[in-house]
Amino acid sequence: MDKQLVRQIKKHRIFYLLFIPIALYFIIFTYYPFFRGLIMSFQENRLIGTRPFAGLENYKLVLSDPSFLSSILNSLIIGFSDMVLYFSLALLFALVLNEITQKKIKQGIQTIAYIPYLLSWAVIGGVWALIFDLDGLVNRFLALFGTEPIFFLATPAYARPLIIAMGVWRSMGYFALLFTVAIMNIDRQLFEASRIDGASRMMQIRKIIVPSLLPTMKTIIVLLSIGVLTHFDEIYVMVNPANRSLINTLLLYVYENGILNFRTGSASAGATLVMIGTVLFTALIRRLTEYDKEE
Amino acid sequence: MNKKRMIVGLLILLMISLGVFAQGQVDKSTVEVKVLAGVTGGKDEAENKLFEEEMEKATGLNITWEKVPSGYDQVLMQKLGAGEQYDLIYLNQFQMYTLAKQGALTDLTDRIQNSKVYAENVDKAELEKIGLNGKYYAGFNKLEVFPLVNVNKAITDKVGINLDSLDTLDEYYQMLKEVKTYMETKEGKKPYYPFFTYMPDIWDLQPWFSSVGLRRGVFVDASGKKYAPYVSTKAKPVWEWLAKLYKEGLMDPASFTGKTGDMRSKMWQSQDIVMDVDWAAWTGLYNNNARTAGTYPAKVNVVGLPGTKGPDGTYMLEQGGASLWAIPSNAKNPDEAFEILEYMATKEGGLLLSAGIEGHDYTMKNGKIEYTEVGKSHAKDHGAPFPISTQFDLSLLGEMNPGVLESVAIGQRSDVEVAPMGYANGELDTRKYYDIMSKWMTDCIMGKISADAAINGAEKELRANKLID
Repeated sequence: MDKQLVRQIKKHRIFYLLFIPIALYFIIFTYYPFFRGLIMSFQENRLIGTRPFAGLENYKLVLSDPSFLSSILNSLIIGFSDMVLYFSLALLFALVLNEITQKKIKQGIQTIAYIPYLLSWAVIGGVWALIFDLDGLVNRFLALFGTEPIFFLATPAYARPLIIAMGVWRSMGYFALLFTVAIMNIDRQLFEASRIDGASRMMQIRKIIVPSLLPTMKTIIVLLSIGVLTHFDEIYVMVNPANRSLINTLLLYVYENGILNFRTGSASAGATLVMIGTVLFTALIRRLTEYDKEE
Repeated sequence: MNKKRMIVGLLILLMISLGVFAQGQVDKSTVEVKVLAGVTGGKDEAENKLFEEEMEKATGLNITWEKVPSGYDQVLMQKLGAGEQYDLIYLNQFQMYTLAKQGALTDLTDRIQNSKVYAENVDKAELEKIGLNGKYYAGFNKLEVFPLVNVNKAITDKVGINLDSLDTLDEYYQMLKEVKTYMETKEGKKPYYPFFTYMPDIWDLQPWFSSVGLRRGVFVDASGKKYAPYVSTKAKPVWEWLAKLYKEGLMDPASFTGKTGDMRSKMWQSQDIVMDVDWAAWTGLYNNNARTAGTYPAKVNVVGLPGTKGPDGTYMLEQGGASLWAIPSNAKNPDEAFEILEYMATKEGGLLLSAGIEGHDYTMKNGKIEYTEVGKSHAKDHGAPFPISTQFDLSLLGEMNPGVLESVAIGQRSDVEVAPMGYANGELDTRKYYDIMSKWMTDCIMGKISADAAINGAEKELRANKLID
């Protein structure tokens, strides 16, 4: 080993020692289950005892299952839409919020927008059912204009938009908060100088705020790309026979067809495919956004 | 000296013999028998401890009764998958088939066939229903009853409907229509949807498919071909009947999005529906709940009905998928586990699994059961409201909830046939079957496609997923 490296390690040994528990945590709770799952994806479906090697059988089975193929499409549509909407609406919201000069009003709006993020999906599912049910708030409002009630929760045309809107409603405030924090960290002197130079507020937003947010934007896009194929909770609380075929995502498939049916091999194969898809997609996004490029 | 030596030698020999004997006879109270339970046991942690002690007292075993409060299926999968060892696990019939085929369960055929307790307490016909290729991999938790039509007679009486005359789909349709008109015009409940059916698992449609003599699930014919009766052309009138109910506002739209809890509260709490299909035990529970709320029998008086008569004059109801106990193949103490399984099949075990713990849930006075306040709140259910033992007389439990015995008696009528759904000899992926069927039925009922198109679509998808041939 390089003598200099050894010297460096010795010098900073306290930090390396502090790193050991964290490394152990990840090895035990992340990498060990991951590799165990990976091995299981090549084994027969057996819950107890030795599992004979099954080659690519589980992968073949999963990839030839029409439900799995339709769940890929659903995941991509819901995941991409969420990613685009979370990002753009959160950015817009943060920019608008930044323009509010009254501190208390600004904080109030920010808190209201952030609160849904603290709620569990089960609670949100209940709230949305109350809003969009046949005798829910939306239909009562529409009735004021003589409109016939719409069965939002069981009409296929509304299935995906409702799920996407639910996600946006819950998460927009959180991502807007990240943008707001980044805006607050912009050097105030830049605004002063631009104002002296005669820049309008719109110009300040375009030329100072948005460019300063680029690192935060990259981080948020990468974070969102990790979640594109992993939507589960919101689907689980909203799925019903009328909308299932349109919102059944990859993880719901893995849960219902693998875990609930005790098919450990198939479940692991499905989960591994989701992970490979996520890694590839995130790598692509990192490349496109030049995430790893030194500023 | 020699005599002394001889005595000492004999004593040593005696001690060695006793030691060897003691080793052969393991004290069974020192062996820890681990049980993973779903619904069976105490209602909370404290009561579960009492339940465990009661079970230990009865069997002489050292038992750890681990009751999972929620999400049992997932917990069972995680625990077994992670290599945790249990001697006895609670599971449903579909899970039993899946695990037995994986070789994860102990073959109990010989034990059950040689068991005196099972011979004396368990009906052979019940055993037949849980066999897999002539073998048994599980024993019973309780006697399964069946879902049947539950109607709130307090409402139909006001409308002037004679429930005894309901036998056909059309007669039920007329009844629902009359109730709807009455509730909307006389009671001012508008819109009033009189019928709720829980669509996600299509589990409560059997009383209607009885009219065409068909059963839910997938069956295997003599040539080994798998077929699903609900997607045959004979089934079309039922699909169309359900669509008509929805179109005319007789079926609650919440049937597609709501849970069984919503259905039940609409039945007894708000009386927003007049009819559903629910377990026989629920006939009594509806009335008991209403009695507590002070609305029985004036506003709520639920009665069970057998549904529609089939072409051969019989009513077909579906027996609930069995709730069972199995011994995993890696169990450390299969013999002791089977002792527990046997105890649950006895009259005494049945009393523990229904009424609960003596001194806590009830006391016996002059041979009669008297429930404590705790016992009353537990509604005679600690996992088995209807014990499996044929020796168990339900009158042992004291006064039953109003209407329940009449509902249970319907299943014993000669013109009523109660049988389980088709599991395709244990091969059926029930989750996939429910999803496909409920999707196509929903599209048909909501009027998006015709019954013909829905039946064809469902059949094709079942075939594409290899659920039928």
